[in-house]
Amino acid sequence: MKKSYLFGAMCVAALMIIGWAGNALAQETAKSTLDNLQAAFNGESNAKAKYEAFAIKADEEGYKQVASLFRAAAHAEGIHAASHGKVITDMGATPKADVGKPEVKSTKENLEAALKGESYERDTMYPAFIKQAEADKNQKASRTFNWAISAETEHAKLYQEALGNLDAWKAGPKEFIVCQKCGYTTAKTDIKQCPVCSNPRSKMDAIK
Amino acid sequence: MIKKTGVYLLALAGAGIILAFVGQNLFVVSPVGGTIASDVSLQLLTAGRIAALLGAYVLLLQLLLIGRVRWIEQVFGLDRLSRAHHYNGLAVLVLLMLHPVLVTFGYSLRDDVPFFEQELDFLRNWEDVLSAAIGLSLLIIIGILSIGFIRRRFRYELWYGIHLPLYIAVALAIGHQFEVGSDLTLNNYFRFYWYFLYGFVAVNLLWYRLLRPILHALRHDFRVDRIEAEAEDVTSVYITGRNLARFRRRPGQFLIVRFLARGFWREAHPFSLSCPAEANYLRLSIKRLGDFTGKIPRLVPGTRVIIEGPNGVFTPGRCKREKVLLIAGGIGITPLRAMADELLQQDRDVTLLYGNRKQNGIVFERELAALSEKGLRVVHILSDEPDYPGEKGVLTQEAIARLVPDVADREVFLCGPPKMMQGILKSLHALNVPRRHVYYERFAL
Repeated sequence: MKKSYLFGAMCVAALMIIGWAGNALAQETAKSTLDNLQAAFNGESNAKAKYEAFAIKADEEGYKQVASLFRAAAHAEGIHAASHGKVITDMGATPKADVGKPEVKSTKENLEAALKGESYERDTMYPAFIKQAEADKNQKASRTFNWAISAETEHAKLYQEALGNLDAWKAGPKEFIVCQKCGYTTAKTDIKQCPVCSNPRSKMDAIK
Repeated sequence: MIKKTGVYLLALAGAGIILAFVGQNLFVVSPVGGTIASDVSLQLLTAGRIAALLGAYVLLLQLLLIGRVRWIEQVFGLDRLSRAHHYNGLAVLVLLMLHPVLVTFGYSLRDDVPFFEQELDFLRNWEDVLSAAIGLSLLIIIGILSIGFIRRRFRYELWYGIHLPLYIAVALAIGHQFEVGSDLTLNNYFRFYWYFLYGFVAVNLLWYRLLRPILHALRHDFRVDRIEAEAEDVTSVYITGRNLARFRRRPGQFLIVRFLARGFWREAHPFSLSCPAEANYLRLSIKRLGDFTGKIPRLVPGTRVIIEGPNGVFTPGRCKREKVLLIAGGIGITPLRAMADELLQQDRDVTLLYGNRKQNGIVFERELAALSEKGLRVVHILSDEPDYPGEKGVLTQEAIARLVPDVADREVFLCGPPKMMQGILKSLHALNVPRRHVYYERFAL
């Protein structure tokens, strides 16, 4: 029996050593990943401002549920920006964003623009960033990008849904759940746990 | 053999399903791009989840092992199951203690939070973590008290009582599994599987530990018929009941009995049947060894009895050879006494070596004499009786070889105090009796 205790202790010790070694490796990062992080930080910060403006417009036009969705998405983008920003700070740099004045059109056009933006991040931008971060063995960057891409995928789905049946998205507001850790956004209010980062429901925000 | 393999396969399949689900969850649900290969924190978290799921699984197995579950018990025997329970308990402790360490370490690495701060966050802010932590602490305390040298300081009854909070520990941790176990919250099939495991164990325990004994008590109305002094410090309790023929039992099996009388009803104890299977009564012959067994002579006829069992696979059913050797030490005679009739009826060549300290310690002396007229060869061996004309001393290898020269051709049934059994098992091995021809049962559960 002593053997099995010893074996267990050795397993834990081995995992700890792997953990520290991995962490140390992650500190040494390539410049390009830092650039990507800055680009993503800038993108998310702008998206947050844009969605907040879109939400006001949607409320004005009576699309209460769409307004809720934009508010939830804005909250999520803010979480992504903060998450990217933290990695940038950990790498010894300062997060920089140049937030411009959002171009606000009709709610339908805003949704189309938002969908386009999310699709670009989902299909082009983040996959390239993740590939680079993994090549650099930068686990923190890879993780924050992965969290963002998961959330953007959900955002795109929700925008698509709203566009498909815009009239049904008037009566509201509608409740969305946003994970405080990774920004995962869903309309499923009975969710118990974040499927992306495992955060419990108590650490997810309800946004209307 | 086939049955044994079947039960092993069933248990392995149960664990295999867990690993399969965790495996597919990793690729289906967890972060896009499958970063587990490069993300150490994710690897730690995954290891932590697997430790928790397997830990909970072996914990459920632990309950089945000791739950008098008949379809398992009749394959392995309760004495072996209780040993398995002991070792399995270590697996439960190791896996479930690894879980919080791995998960906390994983999260603290991922989110750059010191280990203990992360631990506090779990306990304070995560639903059901605190109750699960209390459950685990209970489990650890019970586990520590189960370590051999500590356990032996307790009386059996206290020991039994210490185990009951285990059910509370299990209950405290259930919410944690269903609320924050990501494999369960995110996959409906897996959640149903988990419900099924709990349901399966609960049904088995309820039926075999609670309902079945009650049903038997109602159907057979077991009552103490009479009490008889058998030998020094040994008392036979005769139990009668309705339709006893339908209470199927084999000689060599034991019952776990609870006498419903003042001073008795709180405790259930295992005792071997000491009468042939066809008897129209149940007889337990009990030696005074502790507080409970010391009270046995004071039992009153008419007392109701709740019976769990019969248990055990130490029966003549396993006998394949013509020649049989029974070896008994002290009160270990009871199951062998019960078997003797059946073995003789099957026309087997049966020898009994029966060791005791003194002549007045010999149990069933007259019954054994009667059996020897039906062909049973009985040799008494006494260790503390210098003037005894027969065999004196203890059962050494030399004594066995001399008294039973054809021992290697015999199947051996052995029952006695642990030290004696140990010695005799060694002697039998030295005398070329193959292990598969030796049957024994450990008294202590």
